[in-house]
Amino acid sequence: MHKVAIWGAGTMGRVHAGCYERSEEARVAYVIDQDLAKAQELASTCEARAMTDPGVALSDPEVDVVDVCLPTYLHRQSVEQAARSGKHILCEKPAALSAADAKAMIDTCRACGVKLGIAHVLRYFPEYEMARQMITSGDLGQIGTVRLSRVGPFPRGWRDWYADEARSGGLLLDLSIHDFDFLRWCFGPVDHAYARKVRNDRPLEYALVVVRMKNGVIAHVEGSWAHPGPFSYRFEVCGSSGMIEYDSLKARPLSIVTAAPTGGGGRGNGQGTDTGSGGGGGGGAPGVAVPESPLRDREPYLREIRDFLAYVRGEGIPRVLPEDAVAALEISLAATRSALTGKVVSVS
Amino acid sequence: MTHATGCRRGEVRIGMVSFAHMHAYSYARAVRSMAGATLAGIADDSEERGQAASREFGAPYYRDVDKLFAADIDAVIVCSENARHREHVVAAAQAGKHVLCEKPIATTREDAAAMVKECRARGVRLATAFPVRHAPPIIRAKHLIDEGRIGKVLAVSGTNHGRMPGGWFIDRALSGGGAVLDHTVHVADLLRWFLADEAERVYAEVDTRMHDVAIDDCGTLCIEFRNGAFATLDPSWSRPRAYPTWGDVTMEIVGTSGVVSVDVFAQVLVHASDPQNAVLYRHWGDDMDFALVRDFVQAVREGTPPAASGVDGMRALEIALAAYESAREGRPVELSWTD
Repeated sequence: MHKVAIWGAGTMGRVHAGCYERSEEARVAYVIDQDLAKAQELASTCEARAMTDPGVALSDPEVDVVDVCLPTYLHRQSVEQAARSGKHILCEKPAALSAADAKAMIDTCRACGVKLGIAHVLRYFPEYEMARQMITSGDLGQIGTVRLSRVGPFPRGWRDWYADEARSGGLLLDLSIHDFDFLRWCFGPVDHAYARKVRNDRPLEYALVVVRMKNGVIAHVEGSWAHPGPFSYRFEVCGSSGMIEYDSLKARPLSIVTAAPTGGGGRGNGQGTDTGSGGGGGGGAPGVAVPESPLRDREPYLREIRDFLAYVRGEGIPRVLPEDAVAALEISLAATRSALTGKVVSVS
Repeated sequence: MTHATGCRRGEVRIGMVSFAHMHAYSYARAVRSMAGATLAGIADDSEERGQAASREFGAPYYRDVDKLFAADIDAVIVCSENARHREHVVAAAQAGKHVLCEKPIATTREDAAAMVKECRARGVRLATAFPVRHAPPIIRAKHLIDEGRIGKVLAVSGTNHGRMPGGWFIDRALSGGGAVLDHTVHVADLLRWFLADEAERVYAEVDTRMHDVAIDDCGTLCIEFRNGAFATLDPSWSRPRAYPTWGDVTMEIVGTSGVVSVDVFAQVLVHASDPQNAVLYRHWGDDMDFALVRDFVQAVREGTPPAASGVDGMRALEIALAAYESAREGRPVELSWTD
């Protein structure tokens, strides 16, 4: 039984904690958060100890896994601190704000002899897995164009850290990185990217990115923190012998509409995350349908956590290597640079 | 410059120039079913095609297009191959006929400019066939934008997907370009209309990846406007034969205080057909081709400007041509205006 410390009791910390508990392979022993009340709230759901300082958890020899769900700008320092304490680490995506930081994290973990996972959970979403399977098996023939879209409202995080590009990296680094990673997973390396992005005081961010893969595939990535309403994601892959399309808003096997406010739950309690669009965040107004896309065996966050725990035990290689996370980060950074300069940016 | 209204009888007599483009059939049907308009003649280089159309639509056939121009008509609808638009439009203008020209208006800037110039000089209307401007979901979107419902428009993500059409569309000498020329101009026109602005920069990826053709069949454009708004557009011939419909026009329009999403052809029944072994979308929304022709007929009858002019057609063409240039050069291309 793995003993886990959750570092960061925000949305992703809650989602991951729930998965460890359900995995029956781990239990959450500590929840660490600057905000003790938040730490206590989450800790109380899994009989863990809540604390504001990571010291006790990191020095507990029984803790073998630290799950870092802090804002991006804190990833490197917390991952390196956990690594030096000899803990294996699952770190929320994006790995870091710069490729140099991400590489330093990898080097530190290697030097300390601990394993590092970056939680690019999209690779565990069954619809994306199936799309990749159809692409790589040749079902669609030679792929010509790919359209990936991820849209929702502006995220409200701890002290509004998403709104500060110096701390979150902005939309292309935080949100569109899912789709950049998916492109790499399916088609290999990116050749170059051209991006346009708008920011506004609402707050709002919206970006459109044209990506050319080295294998010639033309990809289009839409990222939005400008869409009021539910989070949604779509894709379309077109090839010489067929195409597939998907819209999370249309894949709704269940919805609930009530006369009075109720709680709402989405896939994997993923409400408020940038992949799980389910839930409506605490059950909307009366008369508003709250859709869900429930999964059990194929629930992505749980499979991601189980994969990582198996990796920790030396029982397998995770689907996302830290090097993959660095490569995805480099695409995000190239797109960000293109959006700033108006130039086509090559991706090494 | 004055425009001849050219309608002596309150009835607009229309000639069809060529049925090379399949939209000609839809336009001819619209003329036939419209009060106040008469299909008065058909010219076509292909005698077989022209005679068949003549029988179908009950209008006299002319092997020689000049004979049609000399006939008792007020206006023509030109649906010849793209590369022949100039010759037909200029000749029609010289004969004093108003013109509705199928899109793209031409295959080069020079041709488009010559057509606009000749029609101006002759005082005839030149309209570009941008039927999507007449689709009610698009008109509604334009109203919502103009009312300020989503604040200032910041960006648009658009598509105009289609099937690979084959025929002369994939013969560069006649079409002037593949998917990017064929399917950029509609949405480019809508963007100019919605934003009331001109494009100043175009970036594009263009390639042939899905069909065994010697012309571009896919791509993605990024079009930037002078006021800072930007848009992307996927004009690919990426819809398989097995797809339930021919393609789409969609626009995700993002403003400072909201989003308008348009899926122009979403008004459909889903038809599962055993005889055809297919699932098909059956569109029940308004017929935009009919509305396009009605607008043109009204422009001819009343001397009012049509929804989309020859200049509008030329501006949209310039965006498509800039996309090819950008793809060749691997960099964004600044637009320079031809007038």
